[in-house]
Amino acid sequence: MEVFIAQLISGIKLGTLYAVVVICYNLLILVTGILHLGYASLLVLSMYAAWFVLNATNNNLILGMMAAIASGVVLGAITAPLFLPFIKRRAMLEALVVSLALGIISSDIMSHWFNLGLPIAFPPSLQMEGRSIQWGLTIIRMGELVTLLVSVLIVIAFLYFLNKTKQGRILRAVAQDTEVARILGISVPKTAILSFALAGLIGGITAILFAMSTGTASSILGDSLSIKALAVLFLASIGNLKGGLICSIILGVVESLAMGYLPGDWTNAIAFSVVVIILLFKPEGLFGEQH
Amino acid sequence: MGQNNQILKIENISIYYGHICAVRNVSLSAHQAEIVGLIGANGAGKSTVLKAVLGLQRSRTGFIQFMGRDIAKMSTENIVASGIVYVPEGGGVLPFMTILENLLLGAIHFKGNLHERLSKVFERFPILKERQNQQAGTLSGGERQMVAIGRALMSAPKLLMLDEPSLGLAPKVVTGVFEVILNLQKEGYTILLSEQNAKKTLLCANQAYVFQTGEIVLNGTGQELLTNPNIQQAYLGGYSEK
Repeated sequence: MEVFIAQLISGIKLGTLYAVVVICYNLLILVTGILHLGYASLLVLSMYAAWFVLNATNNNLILGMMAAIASGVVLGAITAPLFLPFIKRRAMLEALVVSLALGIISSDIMSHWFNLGLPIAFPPSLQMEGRSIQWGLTIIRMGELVTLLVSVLIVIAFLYFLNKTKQGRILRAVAQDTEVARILGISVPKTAILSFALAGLIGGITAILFAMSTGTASSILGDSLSIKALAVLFLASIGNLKGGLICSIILGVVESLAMGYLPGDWTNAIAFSVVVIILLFKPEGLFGEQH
Repeated sequence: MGQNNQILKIENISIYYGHICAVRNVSLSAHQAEIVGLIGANGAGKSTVLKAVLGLQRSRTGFIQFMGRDIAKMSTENIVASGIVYVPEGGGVLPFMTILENLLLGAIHFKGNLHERLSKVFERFPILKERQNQQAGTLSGGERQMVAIGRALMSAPKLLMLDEPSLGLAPKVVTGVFEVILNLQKEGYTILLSEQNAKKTLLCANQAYVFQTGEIVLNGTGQELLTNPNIQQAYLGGYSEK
């Protein structure tokens, strides 16, 4: 039972992290029409930026976190102009290639320029090691708890921004009908850049959370993360924010429980088998289109 | 009509979709507090002219002047910010947003008191106030048109362009839409009205232009065109008896 509870909590934490990543994928799909497959690799690049600064500053946590957030925003903002011509022409396949290229380039940068291509490890202080909450035989590490809380906060803040602010309404208008948005005097390219910057900001914060909860990163982390995000996106119906949240948490819990009870790492195989089966019977995904 | 109260002046514009000419050598103008009607069959180029004013289509020739400024090369964003709004065919209401959210989106370039503006729109269309938190997709065609016009008014525009506001609406509702348009004119709004309902348009238009395959074939005051035998035969056939 203790194992179960520990794995469940760890799964929910993992799930909320996925949820934050999936929200960014959905944001970009809804506003720009782009499935940004390279986004997860850019997120991992932010983890590397944090690691680099942590190393250079003798593990100054504040500076490391700032480096992750700043690199997330900068990476979002400088990659957005690459996509603009394709967004204007609604050339989504070309945009997909650009996105893949960005992911591959950032993976190569990580494997060539950092730590001799070996996985990087974050200082234990970032994971708040030694501090934990004990409840019976279940021990929850502080780093995990903080990750969980901050992820939930990001989701709430994002939904508030989207639904209750002027900029959020503008993003939603572009997502619903680009033509009408233009008629209303909304600049579609500016909105696209805003959504990239926002996805970058959230990506930067998420990079810290990943570092906090896993303690390591490697250049291939982006690939496995984008594969998982893709599974959730298709499972939950692409562009469906609520569905994405629910499916992310389910994936996190299933993955965590599988890790606790099954020998070897079968999570990707299981997750994608479920996706294929569901898509066979419900091609539009579990939740359908929603705005 | 003097030059000083001229709001819009379109001079000799031509617009192509690829190699196909949609609008050829069109010139027209609108003055303060005028209803200017554009009538003609579907595909005659009326909407294309309105879209050109908003910068959604670009003319290869001529110029478009709004309150003395050439806007032909301005971005749609800046054109809207300068005081021109366009209500597309069907209204262009965002169905997955509430009525209130739709209205607020009309005011993204509005600099004045938003609450005051909103209550003015609610005063004009009380039903929108009652249902402000309802999804716009659940509304009827006539109600959507109200949201669309209300949203356009949110920015206190200097020129209101309505594209087929009566299309697909029940006759009673059509009468209501034209009442709204006439009231807006009385309050001083300048309106460019593209319509297939020629009779109703000519009845309320100060000036009207008749479009045929991308060109203006006739223009005059609404009264002149109403009594023009060619127009009566071509456009008013069914309606003229009533």
